[in-house]
Amino acid sequence: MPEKNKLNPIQQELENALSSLKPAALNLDRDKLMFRAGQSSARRQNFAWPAVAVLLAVMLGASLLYRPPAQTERIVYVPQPATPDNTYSSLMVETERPPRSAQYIHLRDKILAEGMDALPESTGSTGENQDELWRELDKIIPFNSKIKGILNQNSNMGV
Amino acid sequence: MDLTKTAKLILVVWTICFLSLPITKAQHTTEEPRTVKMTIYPAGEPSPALKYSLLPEFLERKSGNALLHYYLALQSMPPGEQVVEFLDVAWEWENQLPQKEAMDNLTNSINKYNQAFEHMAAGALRERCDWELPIREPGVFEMTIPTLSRFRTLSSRLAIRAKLQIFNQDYEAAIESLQTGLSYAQHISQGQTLIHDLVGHGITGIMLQSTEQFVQGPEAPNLYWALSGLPRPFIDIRYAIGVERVLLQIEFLELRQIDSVNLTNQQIFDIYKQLFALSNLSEEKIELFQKQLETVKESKVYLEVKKNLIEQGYTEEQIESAGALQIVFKYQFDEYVKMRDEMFKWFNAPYWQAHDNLKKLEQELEKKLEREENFWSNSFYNLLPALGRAYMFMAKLDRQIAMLRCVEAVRMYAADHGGKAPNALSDIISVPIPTDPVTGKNFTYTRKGNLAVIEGAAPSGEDASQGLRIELTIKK
Repeated sequence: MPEKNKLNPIQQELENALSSLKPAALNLDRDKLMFRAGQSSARRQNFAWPAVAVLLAVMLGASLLYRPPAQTERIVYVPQPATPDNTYSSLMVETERPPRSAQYIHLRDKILAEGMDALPESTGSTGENQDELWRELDKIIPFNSKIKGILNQNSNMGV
Repeated sequence: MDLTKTAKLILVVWTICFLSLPITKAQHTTEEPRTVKMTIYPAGEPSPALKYSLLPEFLERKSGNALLHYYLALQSMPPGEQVVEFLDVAWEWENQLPQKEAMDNLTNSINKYNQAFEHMAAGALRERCDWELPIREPGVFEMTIPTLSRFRTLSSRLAIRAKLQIFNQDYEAAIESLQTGLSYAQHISQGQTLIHDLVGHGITGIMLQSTEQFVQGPEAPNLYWALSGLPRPFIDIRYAIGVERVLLQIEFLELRQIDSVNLTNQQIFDIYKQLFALSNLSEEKIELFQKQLETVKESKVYLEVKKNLIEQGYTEEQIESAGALQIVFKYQFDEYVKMRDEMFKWFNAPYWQAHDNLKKLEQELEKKLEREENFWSNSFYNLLPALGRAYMFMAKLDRQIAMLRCVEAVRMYAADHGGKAPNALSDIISVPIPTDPVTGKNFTYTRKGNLAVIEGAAPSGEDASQGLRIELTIKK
């Protein structure tokens, strides 16, 4: 590194001056430094959190002290008191439900006893073709005027 | 005697005869089984064997609700129904087909139903028939199904058309009519109640009468396998029986919790009152009963139940605190439930196995009702209908089908044996011979010359009219 050693006179002089300098002894005390650091940190301490913690602790204590009695859900079967026998009549008047017509039951039993003819005949339509059909009937069955009368009678009765 | 007087006399005599006809018939049927006289022709097994079916086949079936189509059919019915109804009766009475001209006129009349028949046929192809009745809700007691009788009327019109088709030897068309009618009958019976089943039963009976005519047609195809393919039982009443079993709990919601909740006296009275209404008890008697409630403690039934409870270990105090009416009501309901299930369990057995037991239980029930003719008799028993009879109706329907299978088996045998009927049904080996669904036994069969008789007896203890006898004359 020939170029590095090539210093001009001013630099040379500075080098010499610097090399004549001696480092001063270190004036730091470790223990003192640590003490100061501790002091410094102690000065930054915040009292907000402890205050909140204390407050919460107090509230907890108070709530424990003054809490309401525990509510346990329990199913209790309460026997229904029997109605005294002498009050039947009065009860009936209050909420009586009218009996249903039981049409289904009656019709079922009637069909079982009498067969399909027990089915109520729905109102059949007796319209304009009636006469035409009567005429046909005339040709098939004799004496139909009498039968017609019977049928009309049945028809009027809703059979 | 002049001509007018003679005419009048004939008219009077005829009218008397006509009016007395049903009475004479009724008296007759109490002594003898229903007899069907048939003239049949030999007919071999169709090829392929399952060529004909009496219900729509799978590939023909469609999804959807048949009921919509059936209501459309009712809407399309022409007026003048009562006249045709009369024609139907007249036909049966005559027991023969009318003259050609009359037939043509009848054909014209029945053709007016064609649109209704088309809707019926469309419905018959549907997989299901949903009536959507409020069957699970209170109010079932007063439920009415007013259209049911019209559904039945419609089926009788279809049966007339089938008869006309048979008369004209248009057997393919007649089979289509029978298919529609039988599918329709099954659909009607899907209405969930016993009434629907009974109407379905009636419609099936109408269609089977046409089938009886079909098998008598000259050159009519053999329906042995078509009849064998029908469901057995044709109408299964077990669903409706299940509904009947819980009818009280449907009507009175409070009865569903009777084991865990005490009913009020008012609730109990309402239920009793409804049960009395079923027995057509007068208002005065109901009022009298109301007064009787006050003395329930002195009633015989209460004292009996109390004694039983004490024997079971209950103290007098416990019984007193429960209330006399509560105790009597629960006791009667429990007794009803026991009796009901004793009867209903037999619907899970074939009719011929159930019959004797059902009969015995019904007699027992009758005795109970007779013995307890007072206000504290068990009114719940009034709700138990004569269900054994309903079961018999259904079994008879299955027997009719089974006997028609026998007729077709005879026709098949005759086709292979020079037109002769077998000496015994056991001689027929080409197809199986069904047993009688009513008795569980073989049908009785006798043969004298050209006349063969197949007979299914009435169930034991029933009137002979519940039997069925088919007399067959074979023509070559």
